[in-house]
Amino acid sequence: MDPANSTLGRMLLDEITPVVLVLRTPLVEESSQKNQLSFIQMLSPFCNFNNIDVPVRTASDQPYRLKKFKLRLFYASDIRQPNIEVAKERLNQLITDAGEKDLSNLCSEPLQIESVLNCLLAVSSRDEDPINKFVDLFNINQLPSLLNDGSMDPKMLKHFVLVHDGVEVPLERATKTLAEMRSTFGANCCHLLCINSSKDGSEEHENLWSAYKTDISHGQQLRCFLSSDDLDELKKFVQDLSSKHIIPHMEQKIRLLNQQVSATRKGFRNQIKNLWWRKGKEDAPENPAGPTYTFSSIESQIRVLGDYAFMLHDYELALSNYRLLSTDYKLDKAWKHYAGVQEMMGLTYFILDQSRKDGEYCMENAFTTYLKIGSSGQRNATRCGLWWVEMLKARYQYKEAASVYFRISGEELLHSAVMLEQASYCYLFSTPPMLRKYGFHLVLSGDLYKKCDQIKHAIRTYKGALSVFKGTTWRHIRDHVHFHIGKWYGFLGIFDVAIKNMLEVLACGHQSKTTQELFLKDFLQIIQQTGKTYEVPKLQLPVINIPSVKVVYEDHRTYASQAAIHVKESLWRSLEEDMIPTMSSKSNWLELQSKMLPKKFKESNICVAGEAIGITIEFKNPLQIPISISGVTLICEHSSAVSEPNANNSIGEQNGETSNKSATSGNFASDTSSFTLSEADVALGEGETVLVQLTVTPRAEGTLKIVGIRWKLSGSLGGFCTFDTDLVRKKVMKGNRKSKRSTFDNLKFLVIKSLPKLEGFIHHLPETVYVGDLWCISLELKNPSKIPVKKLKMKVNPPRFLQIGHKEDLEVQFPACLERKSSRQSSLRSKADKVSDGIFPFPEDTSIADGTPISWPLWLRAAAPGKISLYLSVYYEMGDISSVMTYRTLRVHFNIEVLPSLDVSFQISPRPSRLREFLVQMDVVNRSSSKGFQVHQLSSVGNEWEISLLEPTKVLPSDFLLAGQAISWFLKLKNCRSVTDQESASSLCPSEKEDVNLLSGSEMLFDLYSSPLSEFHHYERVHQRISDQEPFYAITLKMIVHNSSDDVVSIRCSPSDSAVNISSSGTTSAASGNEVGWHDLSLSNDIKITPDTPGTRVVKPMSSDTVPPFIWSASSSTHFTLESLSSRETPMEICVFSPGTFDLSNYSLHWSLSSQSVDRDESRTSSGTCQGHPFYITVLQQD
Amino acid sequence: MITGPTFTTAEFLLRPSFTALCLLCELLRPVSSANSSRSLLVIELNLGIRKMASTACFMIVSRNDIPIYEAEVGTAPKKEDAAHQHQFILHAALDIVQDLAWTTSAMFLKSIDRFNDLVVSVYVTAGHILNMLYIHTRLMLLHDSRNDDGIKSFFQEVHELYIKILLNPLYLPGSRITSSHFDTKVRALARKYL
Repeated sequence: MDPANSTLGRMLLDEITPVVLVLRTPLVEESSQKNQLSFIQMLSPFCNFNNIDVPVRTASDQPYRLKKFKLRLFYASDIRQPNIEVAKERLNQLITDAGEKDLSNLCSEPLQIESVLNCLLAVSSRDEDPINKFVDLFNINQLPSLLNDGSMDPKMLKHFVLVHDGVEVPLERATKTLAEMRSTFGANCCHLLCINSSKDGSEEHENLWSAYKTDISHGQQLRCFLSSDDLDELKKFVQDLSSKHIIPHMEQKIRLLNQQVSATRKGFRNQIKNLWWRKGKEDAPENPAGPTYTFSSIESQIRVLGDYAFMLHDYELALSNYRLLSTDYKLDKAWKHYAGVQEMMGLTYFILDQSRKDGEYCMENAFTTYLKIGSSGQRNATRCGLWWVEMLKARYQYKEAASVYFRISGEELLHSAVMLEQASYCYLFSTPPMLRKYGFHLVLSGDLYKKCDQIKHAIRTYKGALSVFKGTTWRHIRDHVHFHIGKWYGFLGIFDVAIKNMLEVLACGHQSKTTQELFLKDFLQIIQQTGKTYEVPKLQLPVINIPSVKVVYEDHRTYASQAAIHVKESLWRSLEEDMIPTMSSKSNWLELQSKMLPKKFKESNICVAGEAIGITIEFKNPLQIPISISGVTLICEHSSAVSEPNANNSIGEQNGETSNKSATSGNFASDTSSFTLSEADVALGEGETVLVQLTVTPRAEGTLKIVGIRWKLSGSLGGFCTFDTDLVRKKVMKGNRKSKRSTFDNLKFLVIKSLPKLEGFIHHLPETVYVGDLWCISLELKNPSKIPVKKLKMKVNPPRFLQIGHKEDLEVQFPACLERKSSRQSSLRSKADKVSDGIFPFPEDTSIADGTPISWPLWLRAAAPGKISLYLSVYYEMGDISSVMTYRTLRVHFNIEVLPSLDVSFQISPRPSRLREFLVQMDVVNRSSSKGFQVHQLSSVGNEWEISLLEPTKVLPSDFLLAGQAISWFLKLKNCRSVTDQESASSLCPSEKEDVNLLSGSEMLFDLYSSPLSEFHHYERVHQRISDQEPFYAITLKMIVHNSSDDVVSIRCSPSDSAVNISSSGTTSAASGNEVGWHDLSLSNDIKITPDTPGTRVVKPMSSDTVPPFIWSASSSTHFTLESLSSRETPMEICVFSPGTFDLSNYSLHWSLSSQSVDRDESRTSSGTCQGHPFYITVLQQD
Repeated sequence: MITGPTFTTAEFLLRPSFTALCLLCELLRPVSSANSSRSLLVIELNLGIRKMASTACFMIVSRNDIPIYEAEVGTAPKKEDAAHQHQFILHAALDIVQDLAWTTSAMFLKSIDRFNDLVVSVYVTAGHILNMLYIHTRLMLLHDSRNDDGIKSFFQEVHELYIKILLNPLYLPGSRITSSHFDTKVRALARKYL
């Protein structure tokens, strides 16, 4: 690419051009102001020549044609050292105004050494005595200080212009004045310029001046007195000025200077001289600004030569001079000048498009040198840096450009902000785009903008950065960007965007505590400023653990307490299995009502009007600061009628169309009568997780859907979250999961008419009991509804701990009721009453209604220590047959803690002297921690044994066995069964002999056969038997059968126990006839064909009286059909009782073709049998 | 594989103690007091450098530029805005890593990026060489010290720790490292080397 056509190239050609100093009288200005233009403005459109085509010769007489040329015009008052404050202000103003900015030119200032080479003196023809005016203008005029203090050459080319205002003054006078001027100043340098020749001021031109007059809007037409002749003249004047005067003058000057320079500096001798001379200067006191050079010094001359050559596009010459100069300046330690020359060298290299490295080196050199000389060089450094950046950009070295921009950014905040923003764009343009760097630098720049109160720019940059950082997992970055955007939008009063951004950072558990406080405080502040209550859909504070949602509702299953709800459903199922009607619990009544209920609702849950649906949700505070949540409620939708079955999308919409009433809580406050919601307030501590319980109670029949949950954060910001959206997301993510009953399916309810519901309480329930404690507790059942319930049944679990008593037990005195009565009647009666499966039916006539409670006694016996859960389920049916549900169950669950009490152990040894008597030592230890016990009575159960104390002395010192104490009794046990077994009935022991009273002073004996004791004893014995039983092990095996024939066959596999032995070698022939068609299926899965008739195996016959060490414990035989060329696995199971190695071949396989295949082909064998393959298993003894 | 001089285990074990002994002898030598005082001075200087507050932020960045572990391991008192500033710098440095990682086979890329006086060094795990591997992890350290050797050893040891984490069957590659054991180990290594 031609460097002259790049942005930088054009900029260089525009900016590094000759400057014309314009001196004019006030009347000249006045004349031009008629066109609302200053004199310079009037001339400037014509100063830019794109094709001036002037022949020029280089210093060495090489001719070339100059194509592009430009003059810059300045008033004398504008030529000065640029004022930094003004520039700053201008920058500030620009940035404030700018929506879009062209930044690259903004900071560039005139080059360090301006070459004012022409002076245009303009005097109006209206002026009195114009000749003297011209003289005055140049003499007393406020010539720029630079001209006077010697850094510029005051002897410049002068050009005198007489501006003739065509309206005011007759032309004759002007021409007369011109003639006078010519005679005074010389014929060549005087000119007459006619303007304002148009009379009415209605001339219209294209917008020539629009680029030069920024304060006029484009649409406005200028009142213009300039006729087209005037314009032509202006153009011609400027062209003449440049091509006939300025360029030749410059050319001449270049030759002159070049000769001078060659004479003094070129050549070996001069160089040596120069070096020597410079060396001598070294000990001169160092001037911080470097030595000053006047325009007449050789250094300045070289510089001027270089600049002129540059302006006339003779870059080679310029470069050689700059090079020469830079060594001089370096030796002089004139750093500012040195840097300036280096800068020009860099630019010249660029324009020449050669030696990129040198160019960059020069720029780098200039830049660092500028920085080195301190604050005075700062602005020069900036300009130099900008040239450098443009140079890099022109060569697409965006990455390097970005780093230069970064280096330019200095202490001035606004200035740095602009530079950093530019740097970020460079990163964006670099290949590959460095997006992260882009974002980072935008953020840096945004911070600086903010420091300069340029909030809008700050937001703009941050928003740019957000495009990079959106969705990032770098949490600190995300928080920082969102928080600041939010905060700044808050400053600007754009609250909705502010809140949106702030919401992103609320759940910032990873931040420090102070940051969290800051975030929350600022956020609430913004909310307060809005003065409204906002509702936002995804408020992250607190974190709601949606998978934790638990729904508790009661259909036919009702619960007496919270504890009962949390018990596993399977446990209740198994408890209620026998009680509820035989069909599966759900289909039972639904099938009955299938005409009434649309199919759709088979899936949804049933709840009863007036009964609360509870929802438990986990709220988590991710922050280290406490937050307060108030007004937590559920969002529900209720539609009063059962809508049509095909509706599977939004209920709310459907209801809107079909005039069915629907109510969504919160939206229509009027219709909340169809359900009531509970409200909860939660204060969440640091990092706390709280379970919030909410309820919704439907009041009317219809469908109810729990949509979501809403809450208020710190009393000002409302948040809500819906459960469904998360469900959808989950489904999309995890694919179609098969689990039908997820939590979220449970959120839709069919509300049915209100039903009676039993309430159950347990009275007299002890919290802790000791092992062996017997308690009478009572179950109270209450039905608050008018409709009676009947056909009550009850079941308890575990029976070892809990037994259902009799109605009259409630009245009896405990423990007096257990006292031994004379007869055995009671025990017999209780046994008769006993129901085998443990279901206790209440008396037929029991019916509960109107809130009148009934009570029923229960016996609790603490059989074993530990924490024991007790379950109780009451089944009842509705008195009202028309209701949808015919029955319900009440589930009661409670826990008791059983503490250890007495440990009893026995040692029994036969008494050597008596054959049927035994000596018994009973040791009793009190294992409780603090409680003392009285040991009352020892009884033998069963009728065969008689027991008595060996010596009837009182062993115990006190009545109580204190904690930790142990005691022993010695007893005599006598078998009173007579020798002949037959007369057992008559040989029963007298009942008095069964019990031993171990407590002196008490004559009361307890009857072990009385009602609860005997049942408990029964279950205790059952329990003991189960726990004492010898263990056996089940081993599951798998048999793979493959059908390699083309027909469908049916297979029967019958495992045989020892009795079914088809063995012995003698029966081979008989068996082999059928034993066809079986092949081994090798385990390595390739089918091996063995001979059709496998050798008969000998199975050792087992003697019939020995118990086999294992049995086939699965079903006695398996029967299945097998499609052709298919395989099937059949599970088998054996139970092993003792260790050893066993052969598992004692099963047989039978196959037969299915009936239709048999019909087709008679000749083939249609069935066969084979013995099991030998398979050995070794069972080891458990250690 | 092994470059440079190899030592037998015994030799290797002996070396540090040996130098320590030499140093002790140097210190205890009664004759040249000037010499010993100089070495004392050197030791003091070293301690002084050790005590100087340093800034260091260590991060492990998994594929898709997801940070899976981060720790401020510097001894300088924590500043409020340091956390996000460090993240910004490290995040921006990923651009450079991306460019560099393909041009070199070295795992340790030292001082690839800088911001003011903070320098970013990166240790790229072998994932980028076998690009079929899904574990392309970068261990990034933002530091202000010039202790290149220490940083390199730090990276190597943390890499080993990280591999141990990867070997854990319960750890899903690319997920956050939450192991407190890992955290304490990394911090201990940082104290040792940085």
